[in-house]
Amino acid sequence: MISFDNAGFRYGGGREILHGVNITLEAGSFHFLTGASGAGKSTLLNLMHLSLRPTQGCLSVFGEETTAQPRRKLARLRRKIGVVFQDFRLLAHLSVFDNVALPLRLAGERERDIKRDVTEILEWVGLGDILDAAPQGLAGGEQQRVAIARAVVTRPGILLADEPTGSLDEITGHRIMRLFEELNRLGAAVVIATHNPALVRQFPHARLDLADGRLVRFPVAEREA
Amino acid sequence: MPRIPLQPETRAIRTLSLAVTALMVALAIAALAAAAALRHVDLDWRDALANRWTVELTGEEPGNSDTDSVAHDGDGARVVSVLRTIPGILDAQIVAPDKVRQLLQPWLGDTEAIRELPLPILIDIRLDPANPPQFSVVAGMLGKQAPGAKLDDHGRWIGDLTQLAGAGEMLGLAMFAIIVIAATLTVATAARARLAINRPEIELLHRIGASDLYIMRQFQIDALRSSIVGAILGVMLAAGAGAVLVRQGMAVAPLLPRMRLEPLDWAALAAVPIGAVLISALMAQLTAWALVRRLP
Repeated sequence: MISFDNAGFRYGGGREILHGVNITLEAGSFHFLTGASGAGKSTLLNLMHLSLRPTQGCLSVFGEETTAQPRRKLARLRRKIGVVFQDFRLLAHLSVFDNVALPLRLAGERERDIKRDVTEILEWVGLGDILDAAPQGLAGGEQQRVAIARAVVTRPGILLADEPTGSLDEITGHRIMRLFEELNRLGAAVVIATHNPALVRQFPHARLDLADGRLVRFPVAEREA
Repeated sequence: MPRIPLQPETRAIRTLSLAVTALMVALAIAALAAAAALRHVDLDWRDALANRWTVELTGEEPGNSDTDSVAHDGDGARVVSVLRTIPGILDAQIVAPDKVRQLLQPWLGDTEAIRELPLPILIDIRLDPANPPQFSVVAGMLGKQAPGAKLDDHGRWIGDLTQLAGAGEMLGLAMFAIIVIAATLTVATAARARLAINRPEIELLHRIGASDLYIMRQFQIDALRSSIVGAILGVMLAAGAGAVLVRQGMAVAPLLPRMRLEPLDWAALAAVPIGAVLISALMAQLTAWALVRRLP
């Protein structure tokens, strides 16, 4: 699904944020992405969802080498990746329904199917009764759930989430994690960046740790040991 | 139909945007209509005066400026009969005194004085377009038959009016060009402002897989909706202003030829609002393209 080959990244002429990244995330894999603040977690996620390109090495997504791809071809790949942004990035002038429907409309789905899928996912995340609400009127946790619904509504092949449970209470956080695991069981590669050690402990998945610009993978067994 | 994923304009900005578009369209139509109308005025004047000369008999002798001298009807009849014998002149007619008074009325008013005023005798000469006589030959014969008669071929009058109409037409076209340039720059500036406001939306759309074309199309739709309404208002404004101007113009200057437009002119005027809408959509697309192509 995602494969880095000796990849590195630096912003402009600045220091190298990431270097020597060699990792392959298979379909159906589930990883937490951990590391100190400023370690480069968001940069790595941005590389994974093709919002940035490696300044060194290669990156393949869905089996396609992206580093030399013309930018117009990347949109098609991005549509197959679900992203939960740390700051939610909901469009304030659109309703909850329309925010979640956005990726489906970009994919050219029929309005009838969009209505069915969006309603279903919003009910799943517990927001089925506020379809027409404006996002700015919602609590932080509700906004986060809208952002999560938007990321998963297309049943993406890759799901990337930056602190997806940061604004949620424990019960809702668990419910959302179960949703991610359900998508994972259906074959999606899931990467969740988190600062929350409790979350990592509670859900037995492999961990990618970023330190000094290098990425180290800890399999489940090793982590639990 | 789902709402486009761009921030809606505030009421004040939308009103301002509509007003600017409407004014630009109205001004462009006015400038183009004025240029077209002046072109036809020039042609009308030429047509009206082509192949026609005028003789003016005042009764004055050369070197005698006695203002009481008046030409008599007999003088006019004599000159007419002579003129009709000249090869190349199809006809010569004395202009009826009432018609001469009518011509003077706009300057002197409809008063008793105009009826008592000694008027010159005017003779309208119709020339054979295929074989017109020489001006000097006719002038020479007139000099012998009626010393003091003035022969006018309208050349100076036509020349001055043609020059004036031509200058007016060029001015109208120049104004039209300036308005188009100003409108284009205004639309481009508005599109850039719209893009700046919507940068977070654009980045989000880009990140979740919107193609450049999709993003540009959202701006196009947005620009089209706004510019179509503005253009319709502009056409209404121009039509209203045009109707008032034509009415006022006819009232104050009955001597001026009526402004008229040919079907091709109407087509050009109809193209103005369409052009405004297309320019608006194109500038929105180009401006959006300039931003989205910088995204990764």
